[in-house]
Amino acid sequence: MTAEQFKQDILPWSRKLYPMVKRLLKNEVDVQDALQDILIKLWNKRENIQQYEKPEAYVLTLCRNHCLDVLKKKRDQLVDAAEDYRLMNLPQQGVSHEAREKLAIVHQVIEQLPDKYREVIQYREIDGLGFDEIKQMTGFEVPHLRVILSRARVMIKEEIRKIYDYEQRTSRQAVGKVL
Amino acid sequence: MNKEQADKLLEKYYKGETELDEEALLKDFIAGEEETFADEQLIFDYYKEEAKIPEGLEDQLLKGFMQQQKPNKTIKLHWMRYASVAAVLLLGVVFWFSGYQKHQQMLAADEQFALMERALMEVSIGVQPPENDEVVVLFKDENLEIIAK
Repeated sequence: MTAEQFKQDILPWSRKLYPMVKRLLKNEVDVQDALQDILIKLWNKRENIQQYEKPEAYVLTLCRNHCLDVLKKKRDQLVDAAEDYRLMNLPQQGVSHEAREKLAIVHQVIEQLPDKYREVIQYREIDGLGFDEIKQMTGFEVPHLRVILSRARVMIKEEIRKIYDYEQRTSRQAVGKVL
Repeated sequence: MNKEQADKLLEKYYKGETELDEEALLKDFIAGEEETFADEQLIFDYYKEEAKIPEGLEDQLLKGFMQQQKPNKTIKLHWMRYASVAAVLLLGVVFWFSGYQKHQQMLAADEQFALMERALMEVSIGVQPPENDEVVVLFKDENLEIIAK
């Protein structure tokens, strides 16, 4: 009975929360542990959650706060290095070396965005949150969120273009020199 | 969706005017159009990679949850068992201690009595004339005896 109720009411949240937890904690073992703790918290507060018409904001906030607590307890300067290492070491998942390099470039571009741009892009594009949910998480009104999202998307595209134009130019120059 | 529709949707996307379902359609279309939308495909691949859920995640979490539920029951049983053992031990200690206290009180009363008895005996011996001393009986009748050393 308990298992069935957990499977039905709480477990589906794990798919929604996983990308955010992974992005914040990075280390897969920490991610699994944190998700486990978050689901237990949700299970213990299931009666509160049922009272909300739209529980997403409550659950997402609880999730983010839990991750921030974990990070506070375990502040690790190697976290960013570990993330680059993870992106560069995805062969088990069938990703080629070239593709891995490209993913790492996009990651770096997004990491260099101003904080609020990066936050909104990640909530929208990776976590798949709607505007109402992002509004709850950031406190920005929806029209403002649309502007932030637009600017962030354009900035990412322009940065990627610059990097690839530069790479293509340098490879053409190298070929020219050889010929 | 054709390329023209995708172009329009992409324009909307860059203006921040698309909804989630439109973005999903656009991403699906661009996934198969590497040559035309190379930059977008790369960016969307990154988002997809970051949003990927590992296989068996839910099974793993369910297993963890069930394991966490089990120890609670075991802990309860253990707690009750330990509590009953502790209660029995506590009762034993209380009974033993009250018996010990009574015994100590009785010993103390006996000792006090013996001490008093010894003290009286000392006093009694102290007031008795030494047996070996020679005395002269000056007067003696049924009620009174007058002696001199």
